[in-house]
Amino acid sequence: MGFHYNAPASMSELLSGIKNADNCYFLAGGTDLVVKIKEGLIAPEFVVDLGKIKELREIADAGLVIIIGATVTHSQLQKSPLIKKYAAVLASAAGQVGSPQIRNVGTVGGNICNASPVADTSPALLVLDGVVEVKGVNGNRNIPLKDFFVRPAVTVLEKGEFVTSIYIKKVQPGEGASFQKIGKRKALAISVTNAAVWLKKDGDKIADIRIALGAVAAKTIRIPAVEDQLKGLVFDQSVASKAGELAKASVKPITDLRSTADYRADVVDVIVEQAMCEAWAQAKGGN
Amino acid sequence: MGTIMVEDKIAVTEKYKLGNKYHVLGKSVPKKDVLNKVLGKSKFGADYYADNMVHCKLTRSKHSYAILRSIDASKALAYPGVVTVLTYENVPGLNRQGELIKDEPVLVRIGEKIRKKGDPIACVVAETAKIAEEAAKLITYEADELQPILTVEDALAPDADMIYDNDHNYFIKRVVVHGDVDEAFKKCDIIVENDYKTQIQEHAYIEPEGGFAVYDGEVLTIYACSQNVHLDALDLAENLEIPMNKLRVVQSTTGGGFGGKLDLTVQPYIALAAMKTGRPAKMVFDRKESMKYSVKRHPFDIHVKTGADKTGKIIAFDCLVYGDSGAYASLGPATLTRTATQSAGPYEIDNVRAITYAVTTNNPQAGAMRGFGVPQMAFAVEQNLTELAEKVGIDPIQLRKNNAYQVGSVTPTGQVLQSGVGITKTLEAIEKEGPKYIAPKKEASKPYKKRGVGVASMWYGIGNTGFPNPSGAFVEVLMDGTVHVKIGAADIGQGSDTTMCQIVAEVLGVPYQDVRITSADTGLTPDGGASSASRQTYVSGNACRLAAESVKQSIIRAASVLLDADPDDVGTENYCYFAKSNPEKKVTIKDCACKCHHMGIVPLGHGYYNPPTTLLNMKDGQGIPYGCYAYATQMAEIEVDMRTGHIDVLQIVAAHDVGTAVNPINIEAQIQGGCTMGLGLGLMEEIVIENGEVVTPSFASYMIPTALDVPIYHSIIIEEPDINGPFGAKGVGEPSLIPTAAAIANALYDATGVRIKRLPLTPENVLAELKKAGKAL
Ligand SMILES: Cc1cc2nc3c(=O)[nH]c(=O)nc-3n(C[C@H](O)[C@H](O)[C@H](O)COP(=O)(O)OP(=O)(O)OC[C@H]3O[C@@H](n4cnc5c(N)ncnc54)[C@H](O)[C@@H]3O)c2cc1C
Repeated sequence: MGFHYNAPASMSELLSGIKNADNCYFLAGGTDLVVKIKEGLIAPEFVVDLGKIKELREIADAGLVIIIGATVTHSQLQKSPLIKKYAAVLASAAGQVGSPQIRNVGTVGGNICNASPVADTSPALLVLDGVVEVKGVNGNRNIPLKDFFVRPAVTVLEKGEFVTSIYIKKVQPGEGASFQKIGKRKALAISVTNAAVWLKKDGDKIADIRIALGAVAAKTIRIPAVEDQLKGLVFDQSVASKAGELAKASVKPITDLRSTADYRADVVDVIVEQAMCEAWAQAKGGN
Repeated sequence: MGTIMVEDKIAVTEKYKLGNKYHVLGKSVPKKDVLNKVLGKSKFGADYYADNMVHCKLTRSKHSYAILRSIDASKALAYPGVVTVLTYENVPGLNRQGELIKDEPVLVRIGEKIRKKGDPIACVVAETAKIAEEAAKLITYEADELQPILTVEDALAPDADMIYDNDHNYFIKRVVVHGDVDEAFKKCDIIVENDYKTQIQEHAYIEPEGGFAVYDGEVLTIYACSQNVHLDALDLAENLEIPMNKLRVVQSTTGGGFGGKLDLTVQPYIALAAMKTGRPAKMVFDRKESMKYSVKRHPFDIHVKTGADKTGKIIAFDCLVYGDSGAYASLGPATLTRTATQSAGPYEIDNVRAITYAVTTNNPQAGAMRGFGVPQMAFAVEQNLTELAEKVGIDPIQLRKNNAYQVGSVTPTGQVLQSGVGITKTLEAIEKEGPKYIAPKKEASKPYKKRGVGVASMWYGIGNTGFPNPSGAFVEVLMDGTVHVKIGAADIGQGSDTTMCQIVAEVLGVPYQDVRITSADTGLTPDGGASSASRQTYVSGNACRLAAESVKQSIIRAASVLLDADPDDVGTENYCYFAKSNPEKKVTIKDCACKCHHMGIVPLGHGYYNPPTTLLNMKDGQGIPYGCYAYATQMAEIEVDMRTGHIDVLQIVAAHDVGTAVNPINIEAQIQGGCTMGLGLGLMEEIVIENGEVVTPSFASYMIPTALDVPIYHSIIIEEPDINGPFGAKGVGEPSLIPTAAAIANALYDATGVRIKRLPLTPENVLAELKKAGKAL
């Protein structure tokens, strides 16, 4: 029933006290973890609260990349001038998580470590080529976000490993990115599907593109085969709609309580097209 | 803060241009309950506390349908902190509860049927809520499983197993026949015939069920959320086998009910626990337990046929309705009875046939929910009518106006409408005011969206259908001139306490602030019947009026002595009594109350009111089901995303005939709340059941509208007084929800040309239908 709770005040305290136990969970905002404990879905033996470690809560400018601490909240992302300027797509995704209350406590690290295929920041982080910085008893490693998710609630993190930060690439002039979400209502809605597109333009051509889709597979995915087919094409509305169709053809969503497989497939199309158009408009504006 | 509210009240009163005749009636005075609620002082069931209290938790059946063979509570009894475990053997009385039919066990007996998932098998009584919860999991039972009946079709199949000792699987079949429907259809030029399906809706009140019981060895007092404490007391007395005068049921502050708190919930268990242990007992459902096991809105299968001549005069109406009422009757029979009487809508139609069934299945039970079957019918019938208008080639509002009830109209149950028939006025108001807010023709905001406007109307009988449903009131004028009102009616947030005080203040000519009310306490107040069927303003309001008029006789007697005037000569103005023949001389109500005592009179009045109804004939439903009716018309403006099927409701104009508006801001609140609940019914709310079990038992899976989903509302209050209503007042609580989903569905058709006959209009549902019609983008 109960568990041991520990809230280290610094990174070194955290590292020295870390439990190499199966049943140790890290606590960030708790908006997923506490719900799961209460529902009896998990029964941790140890809970390590990351909330007191200041450096995990910071957003830093590192030139071409931005370093986002694991316990940065969705509200922080939504409001940060740095994020708004160089990664508006992430500010937008974070701004569509849950409600103000959830955004005030829920964190970006929690969002990805929870490994839900419907997580809203995951597609945005994926198209910004996110890299996850991990620390643990056995040292540090960096994992590209596209290799991070395994299946619902499972990541590649090993026992005693935790995320310290996520690196994303800034969106540069001539580039654009957009996040789109379909929910069942206008607020406090888990995504029925979501998608993000980042692209780089070269004249009227798509020089490079990354597309990420949520809620259409067991994890948030990139669709490299589709991306490859789009690279080098001259952008117009028909290319955007082709991208939507290709995205739709590349996924096999499921029916669950939240929606149907048919519906998800139908709207993947719509949101990818929409995201592409918005990303292109942004790339053009930035030139 | 007080002054802000007073200023608001004047603004709202002026907005509706109402209530100038009276000193407090028609004014938006602050609600009696509001200050304590915003200050967090109101005591809900879950707020009661005593140092030595025990906590209760039910062990519920995992089977949908089975015969209970044995219960093993030994592990729970051995669990540290468990005080006792209650089973059927601890229920001294009937062990059958139910508002209309006593069919639901308090705790299932061995050898008897479990009829739904979640039937109560045992109740753990423990030192803490946590212990009770853990121990409840340790109780096991054995049962012989039966094949559950989970659909209406299976329940009505000729060879179906009988869930009760009966020859059919329904709680009630209701028939209303008026004229000769089959003949009439032969004469129709245009017939619209459709099948509609509606979903299960959850009340989603903000407060899950909770209560607290104290037994002092003689009197058992229960504090719990409720919509009808007197009926609770009757039901409890029969099950506990204690006389009603030793049972005091007090309504704790109730965070909404919408029909879901008419049935007993926690009360029997805390009562048994308190009596068994001699300690105060408490029980609070968590949200999941509440959503899984409380009653729900009936899902309906509706077949409806409407026929008219080529001018659009409706000649015939026929409907067949099956409501899945689940395992226990609850208020299913009342729901399907009302459905039968009101199905045809507020239109004079000479030939009507309505047949309805409250079907018994092994699903969670359906019961009362805001509108009692009428919202489901409005979704079907109001779409049929709009389709009819299109076929006739006239405007849908015009079609409704052409057929609307008038004074003197005869309803399908043979009732002649005497007064207060405001349907035409609501239609005219929408016709005139609607376009001021909602432009008749306008482009959608995006190329991939379509915009549409829809209208729907309703009528709603105030009070219980075809049954006596009296309410009583006591009014006492105290020696300092203040007034204490005691009524049985439960204020569950809708504002009855406020309304009653306004009525009493108006009659007695005293300031609203000087009237205090005690309500819904069987130890102190007379029976007020249920706070359901939108009946309290009309029924308890009349009781308060009568009680106040009766105490006023005493006050006037005293005034006549003090003023040395004839009692007939005594008038009241500006909170004073005076002689009309000599208006200079005035006395206050305080003077009169003191004088009463000197004269040996206690200024005490009582009154009760029963709507003038008759029982309905079982064969053809003829009779007088209600004393009066409320009417409404709503107009909705929507945009539909033709790529995703999302409906965005932009504005709703709602015109409601309430008789006389006792408190306009409260009416406006009811209209806004009702429309929001109707929007939820229309767009997103759906309890999903799999194998007899609710699989959407939380607000993560059961969607209700958020603030961002709510459109702009424009309320229009129409006053078409009823001769029997207190000062002409009727009701508005349920009417506000009834036409909304139908108006949205009609707007969807206007936008897309696609009619959707299944609720809710989720993006999935809408997109699938748009695709079928080849209209999706
Ligand atoms: C009402 C409600 C609405 C919601 N709406 C949305 C929504 O619209 N979109 C959406 O995407 N999500 C939504 N969520 C889910 C949730 O809020 C988000 O996933 C949130 O980002 C989780 O962050 P957290 O800090 O609360 O995580 P926690 O609950 O603290 O942790 C989540 C998981 O990640 C692990 N973890 C956390 N931080 C680390 C770390 N640094 N290293 C290793 N493991 C870690 C925890 O052990 C746990 O397993 C909603 C949740 C609720 C309750």
